Amino acid sequence: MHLKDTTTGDIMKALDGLLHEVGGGTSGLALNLVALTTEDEREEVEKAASFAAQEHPYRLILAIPRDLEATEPRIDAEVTVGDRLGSAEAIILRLDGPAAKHLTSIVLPMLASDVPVVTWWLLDPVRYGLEHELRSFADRRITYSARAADPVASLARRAESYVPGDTDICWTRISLWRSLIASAFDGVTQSVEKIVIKADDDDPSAQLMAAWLDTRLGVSPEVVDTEVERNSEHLPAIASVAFTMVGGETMEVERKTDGTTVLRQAGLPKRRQTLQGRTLGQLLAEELRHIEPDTAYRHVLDAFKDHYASDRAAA
Amino acid sequence: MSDAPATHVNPLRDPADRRLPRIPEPCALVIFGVTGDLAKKKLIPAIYDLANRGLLPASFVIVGFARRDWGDETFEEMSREAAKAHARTPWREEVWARLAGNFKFVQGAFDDDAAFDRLDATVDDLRITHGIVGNAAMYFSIPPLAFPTVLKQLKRTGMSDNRQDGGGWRRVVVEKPFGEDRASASELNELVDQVFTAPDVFRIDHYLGKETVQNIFALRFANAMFEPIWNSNYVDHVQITMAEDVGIGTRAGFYDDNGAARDVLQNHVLQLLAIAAMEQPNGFEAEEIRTEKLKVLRAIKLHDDLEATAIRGQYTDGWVQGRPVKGYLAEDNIPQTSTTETYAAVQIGIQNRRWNGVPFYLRTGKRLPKRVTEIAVVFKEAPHMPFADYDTTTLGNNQLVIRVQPDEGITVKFGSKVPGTGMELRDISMGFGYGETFTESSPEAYERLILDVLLGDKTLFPDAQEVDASWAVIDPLEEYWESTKPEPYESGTWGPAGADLMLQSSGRRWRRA
Repeated sequence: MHLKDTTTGDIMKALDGLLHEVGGGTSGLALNLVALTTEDEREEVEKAASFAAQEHPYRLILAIPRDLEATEPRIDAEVTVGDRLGSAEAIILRLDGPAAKHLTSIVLPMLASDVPVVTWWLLDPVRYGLEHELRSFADRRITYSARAADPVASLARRAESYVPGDTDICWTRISLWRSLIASAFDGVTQSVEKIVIKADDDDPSAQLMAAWLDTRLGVSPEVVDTEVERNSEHLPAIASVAFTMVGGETMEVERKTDGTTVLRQAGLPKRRQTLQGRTLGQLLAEELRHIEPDTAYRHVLDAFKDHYASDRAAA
Repeated sequence: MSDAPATHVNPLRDPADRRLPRIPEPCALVIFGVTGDLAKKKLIPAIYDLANRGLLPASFVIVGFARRDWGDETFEEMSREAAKAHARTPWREEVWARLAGNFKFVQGAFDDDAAFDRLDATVDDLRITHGIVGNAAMYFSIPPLAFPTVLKQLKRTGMSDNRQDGGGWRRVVVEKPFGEDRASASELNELVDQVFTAPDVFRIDHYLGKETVQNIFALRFANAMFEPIWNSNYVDHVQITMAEDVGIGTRAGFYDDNGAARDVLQNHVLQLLAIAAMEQPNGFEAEEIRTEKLKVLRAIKLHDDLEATAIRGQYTDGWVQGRPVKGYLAEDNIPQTSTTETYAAVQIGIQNRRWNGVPFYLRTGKRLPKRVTEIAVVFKEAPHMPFADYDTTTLGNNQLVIRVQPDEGITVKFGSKVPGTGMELRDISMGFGYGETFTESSPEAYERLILDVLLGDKTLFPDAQEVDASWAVIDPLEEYWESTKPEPYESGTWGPAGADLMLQSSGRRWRRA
C-alpha cells in the first residue's frame, strides 16, 4: 500500500488494517529492525531483510533519505505485510528535507512495543547527521565498515565511539573462518609462537582476525599485505593464516579463490573444507541471533583500536 | 585434590563468544543398517544439513555397514540421492563436494567375523588417511534383535573400547525400542553398557531433539509467571496427546508384537511428561536434568481401577483425511485374531507434593483425525465468579497448551468479555508460534541429536535408569491388558468411547487437539 505525503499516524493505521486483513498481530514479533539506506541500495537491503525475516519475525522500518535540499518536510510511505519482503511487517519511508533530520520522531511511534530495536545502516549516517539519532533508541547497531570510503579508518572510528550493542558485519563475516581455525586448535596443546596472516591490509575483517588471535593466543600476528581475489563480496579478504608452534610445528589454513580451504597440520593428512561467502541476508540473520551486547567483539575491537593507534603513531 | 592432568582448554574457545558454533572433534560416524529407511530419510540428510550449516569437523567420515554389495562409490551416490531428496536446507553442490570422498562402505552380515575385522581395519585406517584420530560413533539403525550380535562383534574386535592412549573415543547410538518390557530392557541395557561404558551410550528419543520440547525448559524455568501456578493448587489436570493420522505402514511385524503403549507411550509420551512435570534442576548439566526426570518417572503411579483408567483401542476401517482406509485387522501381515492396540489412553498420578491429586491423562493412537502432539495444562476454575451462571455458560477452564508438532508454539486460553452491552463471557486463545517459515532454519531433531552425540553432550538422551523407570509404568498395564481385547474405534475419529468415559466420569473431557 502506497501513501503519499503522509503522517506516522496514517502509516500505522494502514499497517493495522493490513495486519487485520491477514489475521496476524504483533504478538509473534521478535524485534524491530530499523534500516537506513539509499534508493540505490534499497533492493539489496530488502533482499537481505526478507531472508533474515524467515528466522526472526520482525517489523522492518526502512528509511531512505531522498531530497535533502527540499525545504518542506515530506514523508512518502509504502506498507507491506507478507509480500515482497517475506514474512516481515515492513514500512518503507522516503523522507524529504527536514523530515530526514528528524528520523527519531518519525520512527519512535512506529516501533512494535517492548521488543528490542536493532538499527542497521549500510551507508554512512554521519553524512546525514543521523548517527546520534539512530543510537538514541537502538539496543543494537549494525554497521558494515567495509562499505565505507576508508574501511579500516571507519572501523577505528566505530571502535573509538563504541557503546555496548555495537557490531559490524566485518566481524560477522569472519565467523566461519574463526570457527574453522578454532576447530583446528581442538586437541593442539603446544603454545603458539608466531602467526602470519596473508590478507588485504585494508580489510577491516583481516584486522579483526588479527586482533582476535592476539587477544586469545597472546601473540600479535604479522599481517602480510596480499592482494586477495574473492568470489563473493561478503568474504573477508584473507588468503591464509599460518601458525608456528613453540616446538616448531606448523599449521596453516589457506583459502583458494573458489572456496576450497585447506588445513595443513603437522602429523595429519591435508584436510579440505569449503568456505564460501554468505549472503548479506545470512550475515544479517546471524547478527540478529544475538540481542545482548557481544562482549567477545568488544575485547577484539579494543585490541584492534590499540593496535591501530600504535600503528598510526609509528607512521 | 585430583591427580588427573588438567584437561587442555582450547584458547580460541571463549564461552562468551557466542558466534563460534560447537563443532565436534575429527571423527567417523559408523552406521549399521545404512541401507534402511531411517538412514536414507533422516540420518544422511541430517549429516548434509549439518555440513551445510558448517557444524561438521574438517575431518569427518561416514562409514556404512550393511549386507548389500556396494562399493564406496555406490554408497556415496546413494547417500547423495538421499540427502538431495530429504535434506531440509537448500541443496548446494559445494557442500556435498566437501563430504564427497569421505564415504566408506563395508559389506557384510552381522554374524560375519571377517566383515567386522574389515570394518575395524577400515576405521583404523581412517586415522591416517582422513585424520579422524580414532574417534568414532556407531549408529545402530538396525532391528533390536540384531543388537546382541553386533555388540558382541564390536567387543570381539575391540572397536567399542575407548582408546586410552589418546587414540580417540568410541560411542554408540541406539534407537528405540529399548526392550519390550522391564526385564528385556535391563538385559539390553546391561549388554550395551558393558560393551561400551555407560557414559558412551546414547539412546535416541527424537522427541527430545525438537525445539519445542527444549523450549519447555525455557518456559518453565526462565519465567516468573508460570512456575508459581505449575502445581496441584492451580492445575486441575494435564493432558498429553500424541496423535497420528497414519496407520502402521510397513511395520506390521514389529507393530503387532508391540502396540501403541510400547511403541510410543513408554518413550515419547513419558519423556514429555517427565519434562513437563519435573522439579527445577540445580543446573543445566545432563546429570542434573536426568536426576529430576528420574524422580518424576519413579513417582508415577497407575490408578487402582485399571479397567476404567487404562483404555486400549484398535482402528477399524473408516475415512482419514478424505480417503477410505483399511482397518487394523485388514492390514497386510496382521493376524485376524490380533489383540494388539493401536490406541492407548491412560490416567496416571504423580506421587509428590507438587502433583498430588492431579490426574495426568496420556493418549496416543494411529488413524486419528490428524497428526498432533501437545501437552495441555488445564487449570482449575476461578474460586468464585461474580457473574451470573448464564453469562459464563460457554466459559471453560484456563489452559496452557504446548504444541510440540506441527505448528510448534504455545497457546494460552482464557475467558474474555464478548463485545456488546451484556456481560457475556467466552474463551479466547492467545498464541505464540515459532512461525511457519521459522522452521526452515531451526534444526531438525536428528540434526541436533547427531551433533550432540559427536560432541558428547548427553543432555537430550534418556539413560538406562530412565528407560527402566518408564518400563516400570508400562509393565503392569501390559499385564492387565494381556487378558483383554482392545475396543474398536473407527479410523478418522478420536479413539474409542472408553477413553471419553474415562474423563467424563470426573466431569472432564479431552481437549480437541
